[in-house]
Amino acid sequence: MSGQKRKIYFLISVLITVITFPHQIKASYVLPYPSFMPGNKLYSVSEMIDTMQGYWSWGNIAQTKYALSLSDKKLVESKILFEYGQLALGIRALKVSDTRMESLVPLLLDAGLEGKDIDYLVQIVKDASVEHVRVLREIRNELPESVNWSPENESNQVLSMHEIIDRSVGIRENILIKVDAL
Amino acid sequence: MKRAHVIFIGILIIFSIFTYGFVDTHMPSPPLPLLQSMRVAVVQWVLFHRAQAAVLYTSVILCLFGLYSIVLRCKKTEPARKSLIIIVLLGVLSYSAFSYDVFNYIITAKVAYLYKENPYVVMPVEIQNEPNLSFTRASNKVALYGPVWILFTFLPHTLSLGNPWLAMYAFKLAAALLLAVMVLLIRKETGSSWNAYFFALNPLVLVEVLSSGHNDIFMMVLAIAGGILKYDKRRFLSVAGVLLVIASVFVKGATLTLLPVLFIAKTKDLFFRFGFWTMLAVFFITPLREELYPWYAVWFLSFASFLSPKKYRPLQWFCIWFSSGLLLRHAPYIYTGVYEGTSALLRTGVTVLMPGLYFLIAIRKLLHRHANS
Repeated sequence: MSGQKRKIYFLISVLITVITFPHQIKASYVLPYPSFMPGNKLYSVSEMIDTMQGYWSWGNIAQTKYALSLSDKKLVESKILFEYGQLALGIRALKVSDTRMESLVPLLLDAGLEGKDIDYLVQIVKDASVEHVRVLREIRNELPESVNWSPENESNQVLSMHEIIDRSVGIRENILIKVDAL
Repeated sequence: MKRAHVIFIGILIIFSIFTYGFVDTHMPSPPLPLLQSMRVAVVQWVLFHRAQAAVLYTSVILCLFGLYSIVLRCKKTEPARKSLIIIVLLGVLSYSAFSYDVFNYIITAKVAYLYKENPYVVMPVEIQNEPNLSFTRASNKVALYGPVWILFTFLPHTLSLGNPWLAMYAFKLAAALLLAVMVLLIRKETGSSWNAYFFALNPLVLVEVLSSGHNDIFMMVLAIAGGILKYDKRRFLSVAGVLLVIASVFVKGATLTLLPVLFIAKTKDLFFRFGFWTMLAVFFITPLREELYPWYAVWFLSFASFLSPKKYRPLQWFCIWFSSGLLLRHAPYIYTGVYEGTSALLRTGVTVLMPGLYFLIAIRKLLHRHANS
């Protein structure tokens, strides 16, 4: 093999090695798969299980994990519902997600006051908040600013979709500021 | 006979000191300076003289079983009460050398009672500044045992005063008290000291219950007491008995298999007989889930203690030989320092060797008897 060919093969193999060399990838926070949706026969059962899990998860760390997992679940549920045009149900699910997110900082504070080292939990909550904001902004882009909602047997109402989403984003951004101070 | 008891205690003293050679390097200093000096000396010896340590361990176990057999074969078997107290104390004050389970019990109790978290939701490793994490294994799992056990651990946890050494001794003391309850049950039901000492002096029971502090004794006390009560003529005691057996299922699930036995066996004797075979079967199934752990032998040994030696002597002697094989499973780990590879093969070898020897001796005796008759 001539010297030049050898050089070319060497350069190609170096190039392939560099391209295919394992790069460090930081896995982002992963939201769960969607669970049962409203309308499914098992939806009310899953809601009951969620309620019972709330009682089962006693203690600040357990409650934090529970609140975060329920918030994730409800965020995903609201996203799917908005995609299917089920705006009122989507807003309801989003409100549950917001309430659970809002409970996280007091829980983390209490856990810290009890002397528990919860740095890893704080990081998880931060990652979750960042991911929630990303998903909410995606949802906001797909939704109109406001919608004239006319449910059956009920009066018309104007749903300010962007305002609702912005409020949810605001809650998560607030959490990011507060956990940094913990 | 008194000499046998004295030698038994002497060997137990050697064993108790030997266990301090396995103190985890991350454990803080023990409360007594004497124990710390002993720890330093023995750890050095065990770590750098593994072969000798394994030989010592094997010799200790074989001697204990030899003396135990002599005590059982002699008609006058009762060791003095003082001897029994010393044996229990030696077991409780030894270090939990061959299993980290007691540290798992301690940390789970802390999660539940000190940190007030649900131990079935929060793993000990999630409380990152918990000091016991450095010397506890399986801390990346939620509670492995039932709620009845978690409730029971409130007592030893309270006695521990936050010190890991006191916690270890408190859990082992609890195991000792439960062992005493089991021995009393055996004595009361069988009316025989032989049966009581068959269980109480079995070196496997002494090592795995007193020294390692395993909670299988709690499960079996509940199951056996429940079984005894179930056959009482008074209805409320009978119901209480069933509830106790159900409670034992919520310690470790193994006694779930006893629930049908409770109703199939029409008498207490049948319960003990069927219970023995059921727990022996469950014991042999456990390797499918994980591994054959020596301390699981407490399950069938408890029932074997209630069987009449007049009818079941060969079976009870098989249990003794099998116990020795199971306890010798620790020897390969002492020699190699690991559980995998050659150690795993050696472990299987010693487990099979002792009952294998028993069968050879039994067959030889049978053939000899046949030849003479």
